[in-house]
This record gives sequence, C-alpha cells and structure tokens, in this order.
Amino acid sequence: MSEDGESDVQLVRRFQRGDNDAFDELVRRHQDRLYRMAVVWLHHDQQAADVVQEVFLRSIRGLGAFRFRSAPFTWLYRTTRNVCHEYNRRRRTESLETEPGDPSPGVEQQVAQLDAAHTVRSLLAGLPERQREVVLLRIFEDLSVRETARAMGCREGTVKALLHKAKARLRLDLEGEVI
Amino acid sequence: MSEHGKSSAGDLRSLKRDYRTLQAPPFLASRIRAGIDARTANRANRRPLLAAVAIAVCVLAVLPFMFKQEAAQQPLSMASLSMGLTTVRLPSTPSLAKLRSVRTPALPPRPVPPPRDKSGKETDVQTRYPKEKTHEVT
Repeated sequence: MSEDGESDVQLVRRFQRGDNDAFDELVRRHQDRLYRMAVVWLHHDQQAADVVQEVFLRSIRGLGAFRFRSAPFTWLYRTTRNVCHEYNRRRRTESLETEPGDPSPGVEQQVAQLDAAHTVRSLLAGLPERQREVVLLRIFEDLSVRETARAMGCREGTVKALLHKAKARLRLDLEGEVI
Repeated sequence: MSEHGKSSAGDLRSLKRDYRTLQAPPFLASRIRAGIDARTANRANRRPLLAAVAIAVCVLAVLPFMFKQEAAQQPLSMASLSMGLTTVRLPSTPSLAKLRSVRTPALPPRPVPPPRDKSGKETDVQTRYPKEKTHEVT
C-alpha cells in the first residue's frame, strides 16, 4: 500500500505513539485516492473535498485506536464510503441540486479534470453500486482481489464475479460511446 | 486476445487514466491539518468545563452522605402518624352535602312594634327618637 519506504501500518503505529507528521504523511498519501472515490460516489467535487476532510478528521480517533485487523487504507476507504452515503442521504432529504462540479473560471487544469471526471462518472453511473465499487478498487486503484474483498466486506469469489459482470457491462457501454 | 478484446482493454485503460487524472484540490492537506488543529483546540478549551462539571457531579453525589440520617431512621410517633393520616383522608374538593350539614345558630326573636292608640298615633313617645324637621321652602 505504500509508495514510499514506510508502510501505512508503520505510519499508523507512529501516529499512535503521538507523531503527527506520520498522520500528515498518511493524508498526503491517500487524499487523492479518497477524493477520486468520493467524486465518483457523490458526483460533486466540492463535497468530495469536504468528505475527504471529514474522513481524516474521523480517522484521528479511529486510527488512534486502530487494531490492525485490516489494512489502514481499507479502513479509510470504508469510512469514505460511509461518509459519502451520509452526504447522499442528507442531500436527498434536503433535495439539493447536484451540479457536477462547477469549476472556477480560467482554471484549465480543473476543466481537464472535470472532463475526465465526467467521462468516468457517466460510465460508472450505469453500473450497480457493488460493481462500481469493485471497478474503483480493483481496476482503478489496483488493489488485489483480497484487499478489495476486505474493503467491501465480502468474499474473494464475490469480488471476482462482480468484476466479471462489471467489465462486461463497461465494455458494452464503452463500445456505445465509441459508436 | 481478439481485436475486440484488445480495444475494450484499451478503453478500460484509458478510463483508468482519466480516473487517475482526478486530483484532490490543492491545499486540501493543509485544510485537513487546520481542521484537526481547530478540533483539538476546541477539545482543549472544553477540558476545564468538563472538569468543573465532573467535580459538580461528584459533589452532588457525595452531598447526601455528608449529613446524619438519624431522624429518618427513627419511627414516627403515633400522634404525628395519625395526624398525617387524617390530613390525607380529608377530601380535597368542596362537597355540597358537607355544606348542608353545617349548623347555623338560631335567629334572635323579632322586635315587638310599639303600642298605638285608636287614631293610629304612637303612644309610647319616650322610646321614639324625635322626628326630624323637614325644611320646607317658604
């Protein structure tokens, strides 16, 4: 799970000993991944950033008492998913309009990102929730089948089956887009 | 792999590339750090308040044990017990039957009118007050 020398587990251990730099390193390492997932779940860029912030605020307490039964990223992913569900529920009750990410004018990088995000979102939006989740984790985030199963709270066989169905459906959708 | 399969895999790869171009907004990490610091500061500010509340709860819990409870342990005397029971048994609402049962003292005898002669004038003038003079306008 780590791109640098130190693994997530080591960082969490350091954080539990009171090292705040370790926590900042965890934030730097995972903020983009969690943000991408939140964007797909919420279809809203600003709220996705809010979700990532909320997840790390919750993780101060959660990771402080973390028992290493799963990978720290798995815990972060599950928290992100839960917070996204809370946001979606709240949005449904408040019946807010969900404009998919209004970019600040003149920011080219954001515009390019939003184009990409729009393509990804529109394709993933056609998938059922569990299939979308498996595509995010297994294909886009390169998690192993085992890690994906742990993150989703299901068996590895279920992950494989879901992945097979999701790929077939995505292929159909992609062909439709090309045509 | 067939041509169709290759193109699909390529599409998936490009989809993944698109997905990976998504990045968290700049300064998100510092925003998170600021949020954490603010929350930690809030907790630190609440600490004295929590301590005060905890002390108050402890004092309230200990307070009953600080006084002797002998009076409560002694049995009530029969007099105070019966008085209490009588008070309890009294009806709280006014009752009409109760009002009718109340005896009032007898009225005094009617006064006897003064004796009069045949013409109808009062004879016992001494018992009468002098009549008021009417002021007639002449």
